[in-house]
Amino acid sequence: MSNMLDAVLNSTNAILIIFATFAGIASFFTRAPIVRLAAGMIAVLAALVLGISSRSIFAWTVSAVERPSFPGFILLSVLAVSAVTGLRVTKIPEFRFATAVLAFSGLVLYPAATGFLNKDAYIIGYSGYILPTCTAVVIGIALYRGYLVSALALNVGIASFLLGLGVSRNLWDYLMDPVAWIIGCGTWIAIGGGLLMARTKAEKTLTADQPSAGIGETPISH
Amino acid sequence: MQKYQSFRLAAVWALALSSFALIGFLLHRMTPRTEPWTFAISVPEAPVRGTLDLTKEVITPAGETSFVHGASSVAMQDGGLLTFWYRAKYEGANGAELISSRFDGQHWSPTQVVTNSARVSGDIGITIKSLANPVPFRRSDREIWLFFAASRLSGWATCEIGLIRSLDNGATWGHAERVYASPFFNISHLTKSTPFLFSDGRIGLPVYEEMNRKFPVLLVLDADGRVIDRRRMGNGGKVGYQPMIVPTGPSTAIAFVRRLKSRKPKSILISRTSDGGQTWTVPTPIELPNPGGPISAIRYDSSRILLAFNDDAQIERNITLALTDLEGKTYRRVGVVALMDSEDRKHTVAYPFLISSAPGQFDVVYSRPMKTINHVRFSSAWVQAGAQPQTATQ
Repeated sequence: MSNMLDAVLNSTNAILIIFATFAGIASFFTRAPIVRLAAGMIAVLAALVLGISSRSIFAWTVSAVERPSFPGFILLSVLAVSAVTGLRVTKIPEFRFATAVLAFSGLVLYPAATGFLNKDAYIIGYSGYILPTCTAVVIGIALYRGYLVSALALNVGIASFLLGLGVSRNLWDYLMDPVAWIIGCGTWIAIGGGLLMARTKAEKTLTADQPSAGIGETPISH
Repeated sequence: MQKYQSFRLAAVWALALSSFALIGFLLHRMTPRTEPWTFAISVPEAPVRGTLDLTKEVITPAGETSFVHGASSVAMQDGGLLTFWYRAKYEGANGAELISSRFDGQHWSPTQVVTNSARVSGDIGITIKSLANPVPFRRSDREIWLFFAASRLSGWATCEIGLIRSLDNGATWGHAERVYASPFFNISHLTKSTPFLFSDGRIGLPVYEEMNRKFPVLLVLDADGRVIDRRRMGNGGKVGYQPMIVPTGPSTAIAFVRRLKSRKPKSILISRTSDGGQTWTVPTPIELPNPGGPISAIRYDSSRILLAFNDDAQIERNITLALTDLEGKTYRRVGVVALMDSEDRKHTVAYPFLISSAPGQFDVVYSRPMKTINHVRFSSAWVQAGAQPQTATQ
């Protein structure tokens, strides 16, 4: 039973990633949620059936991304719903808050934990007050701003850690995961890109609206 | 609308209260550990006994055609050995197996499959491609733990560490478990060297990071085999791998580190700790050469360490033994226990793994051109007699 549960939990990230990706791709072609839903589900089934080498694409994906943290699971679920319904999640303040926290935390954690920096940020998840204090601050801000899903996700993450529900004994692993970090970074790259494009567009419009020197007239600076 | 507002307000309060309680429990749980960072030191008896002969055998069955590598051993109560290695069609191939064989002092038993990729996949719920580097750890008179590297995708950089336990001295084995050591999908940590004990019963497992950066890491495990701390040995970046840690005092230890093939000088690297493994010096080269192969070392007596290494800067030409002081500063070669075929440069002798199986009795297992696993037994009398005059000083 435990093995079965592990297999199901380990598959969660893969299911949501494949589903959300293909439902999202379908959204470029259709606005019908039912078609997007079908596209996502067909993609998951296809990944289960189609193989590379000796295992299915789905098994490869599971081996690559394993199970999500609870906040990561919520984030991917929101993306999956958004891919089907067309909900523009980047317009939602709570989504922006959550992804900003994940992107920033991941920048603190992953490069340091994988040897790109000389200090290992992962070890503060084993003991000490730094990570719990930072988590408390994030939950406090979330509650103050009324971001209840974020606060709930972090509560569940902490409870899972305290109850020892996963293999890891490190708090970081219950609060975030690399997929959530990548989504967080991707979201803010998209938001930043969107803002930049909007600004460029506004500047172009402004330039076009300015009075011209007139065709054939000599430029003043000449 | 008012009903929704009331509900939302109630939810905020409920979450605030639960957050407050959870953070309280969390702060209590995360209270900095008070366990002492001290090693369990057992200075071995060092009677000068035994013959001046080496006894050598090939462990793998005649006609073995698979790739076999990464041998390691654990001592049995009767002075025998239980030896492990991995077997696959080629290095990193699908469907690898962890193999064991028992030595009673005279004969090696027929090989036994401890586990394989498919069984590990079923046990942990993630498809595993290949297995490698089994490392045994005697937990009690009857209990043996076997750590190993499990490759999830392709290549050793995608490995995580697995653990499988036997409660009957290796006759049968339980389910494989995951050793969770990295936040990045738990990948890119591999085993190679012998675990050791801290004075409070925690276990030190020397491992290394393999993906892009390559550096040695000490994992600290609780009595249940869960990682509860980890310490980088020196800095991150491209340093070296396969640390072999030898505690030399209650809070001092040295680690012999395999150099990266691309790095010069072509020497063994050493890292030291003086605070029970909490911090380690940046690995620095010593004057013993290293072709880019692992080093195996044990405490020899109250003042010396015995190490097995490839005494060549270019290829794994031989397996040589040397004695060093507890500071790791002076080295005295004592003899060669295995030599490559001089006419075939592919015929190397690789991955030595050294243990003391009884007072005054030592064993090295290693792989020879990846087609056989071999064993050499020698005595403390052989070590003493074999000491050679040349000394390398750091």
